[in-house]
Amino acid sequence: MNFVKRAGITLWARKGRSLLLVLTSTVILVFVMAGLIIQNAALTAANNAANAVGSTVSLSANREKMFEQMKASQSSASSTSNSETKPTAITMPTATVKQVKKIAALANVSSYNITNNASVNANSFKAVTTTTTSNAMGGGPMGGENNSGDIQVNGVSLTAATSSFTDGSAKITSGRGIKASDQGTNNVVIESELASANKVKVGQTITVKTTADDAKTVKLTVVGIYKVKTATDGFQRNDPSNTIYGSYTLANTINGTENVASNVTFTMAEPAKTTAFVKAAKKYIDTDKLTLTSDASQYKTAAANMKNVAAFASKIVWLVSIAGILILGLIIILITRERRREIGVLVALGESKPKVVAQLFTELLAILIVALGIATAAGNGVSGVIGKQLVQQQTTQQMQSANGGLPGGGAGQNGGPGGGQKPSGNMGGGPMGTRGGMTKTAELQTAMTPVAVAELGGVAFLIAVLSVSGAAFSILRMRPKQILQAD
Amino acid sequence: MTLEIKHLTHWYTDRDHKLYEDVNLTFESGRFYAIVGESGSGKTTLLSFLAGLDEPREGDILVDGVSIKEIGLTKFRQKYVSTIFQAYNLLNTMTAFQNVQTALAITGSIHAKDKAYILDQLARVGIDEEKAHKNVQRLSGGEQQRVAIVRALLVDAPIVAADEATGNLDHENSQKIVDLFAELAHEFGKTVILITHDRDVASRADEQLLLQNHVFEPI
Repeated sequence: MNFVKRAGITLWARKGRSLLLVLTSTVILVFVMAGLIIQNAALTAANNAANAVGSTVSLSANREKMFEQMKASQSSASSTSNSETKPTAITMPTATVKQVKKIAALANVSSYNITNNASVNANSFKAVTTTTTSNAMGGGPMGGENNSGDIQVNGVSLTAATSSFTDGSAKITSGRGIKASDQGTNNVVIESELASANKVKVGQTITVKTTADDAKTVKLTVVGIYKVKTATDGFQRNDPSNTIYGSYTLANTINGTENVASNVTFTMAEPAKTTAFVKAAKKYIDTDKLTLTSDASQYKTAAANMKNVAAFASKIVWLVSIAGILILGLIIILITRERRREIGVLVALGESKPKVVAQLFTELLAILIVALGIATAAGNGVSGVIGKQLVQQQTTQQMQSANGGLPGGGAGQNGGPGGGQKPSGNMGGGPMGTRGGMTKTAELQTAMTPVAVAELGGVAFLIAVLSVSGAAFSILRMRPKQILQAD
Repeated sequence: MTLEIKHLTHWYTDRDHKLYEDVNLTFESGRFYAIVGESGSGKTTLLSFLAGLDEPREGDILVDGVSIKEIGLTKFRQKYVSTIFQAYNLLNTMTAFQNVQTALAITGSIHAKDKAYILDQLARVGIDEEKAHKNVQRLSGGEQQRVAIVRALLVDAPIVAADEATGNLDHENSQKIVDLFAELAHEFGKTVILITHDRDVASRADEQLLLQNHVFEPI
């Protein structure tokens, strides 16, 4: 009869004690299991959230460097001349379409969108005017202020990839949006209010005049009508209905430029690799003139919530495991003391002490295997409840933090300039429209996985080893005569 | 096989109060020895040394000239000696049958898996099959002692060390067990050492040793 069989006999003979040990172990393992499931689910959710929200990288003029250069030239001009200092007009640098295509060919780019803006004046129709904006605050984007017209042409690669359309603030209501095939054409998409005010329908043509001194008339074909949901806020200097979408080549034509890409938004296939992409893309641009800005904050916020939950769950696993080791360890030590005589008899019969320890270990392992089965069955439900509670707590904290930090309550994140801004000549603005709104907290899908069961098995094994270690130490020091004499 | 005690000196806490001093004894195989003495004289302590359960402060115990320390106490207990305790020392979670089987398995006896053999040997001391499959705690003191004796005797060890093995038995059963000890010594060539203070039982042994005033003297 080996120690495994003896362990079985002992467990069966002391059913009551075995049952209590199973219950204690089950409680410990259920909490460890819940922690492991939540941890795994939270990490998965963090990755999913990151992939769902996505990440973009914007290529635009390096304004900071430009302003530094402007200041430097102004100060040198004032030191060399006593004449009245005039504001220095600077031309914002732009990337070429060739450069953009090279960058877009890099790994991890799922799509890209070129945006060029141009300012024109309505010719065959009238721009929509908003009374509240007539006295609106000035001081728009710098440069090209004198060249502003009443209509802004937003040149894009695809309207469908433009933030206004992706976040739902703008929607095609008639015809179609701008596509890659519109490059080199004068096809445009106009806002529904502008269309209805001028009775323009899809398929008709309209004309605009450039804002340059030698103004030219450009004929535009309306291929679609869109409706913008965002209301004017009174601070915009022009009505958002006066924004026309066309191909970026159209904006180039109006501005008298060729192959220019003022702003490019690259959408990342894997948000986590955004930094590597930026590093690689910088090799293709002059960083004194152009800059690459990654917009991973949304995904980071979504992922951070889940990572916090995962970190908390990890602490649960550690705490419960340590508590479990201590509780079971103490129980095993007490049981060992109670079983001193049995151990003494076995040793007196010639059993080696390591085999006696192995018997104890086998007994505890058998108990933990039963507890593991119960914990596996119950762990899903418990982890669901705890996980939901943790996510709610995390969301509440996030909202409180946002409300506390921003007067008036959680403002939209990552809102770029644009929307209905007054056209600003050849200036490169940021991504148009707002991506605002509170970042949606990722759902926590707690589900039992073979990995979680394997991890729990590992934890149970570790608990068994460490719990028996204390008892093993005392058994190895035992002298059979002392044990048997004590009885 | 010869079991020798060489220059054995032992004390508990005070070196000046020695239990034994420079004891030298030899036990031969095929002989039945009885050690008698007053309570507290150190009979059980001597048995614990002979059974490999403890080590003396000074001196050595040798099996065919080899120190049991060299053999290893665990191996010595497993292969050389089977012990019968006064307090039975059965495994309380097990049946009588399982107690015997466990001892046989630990010592690597060829009979460990021979159920019929174990039951037959138990029956020889009055433990029938029904009782053999009962938890030992449900047996009487005498029955438990008989189970303990069978457990020790079935093990293929050349030395049998028994501490008051017949103390809890009636005269009839006590005689049966002593007959068994004599049989083990004379027919199976084992060295049987019985600690007892029953002079009648001791008189059945081939040699009697009296432990008195820290020394062993032949009676």
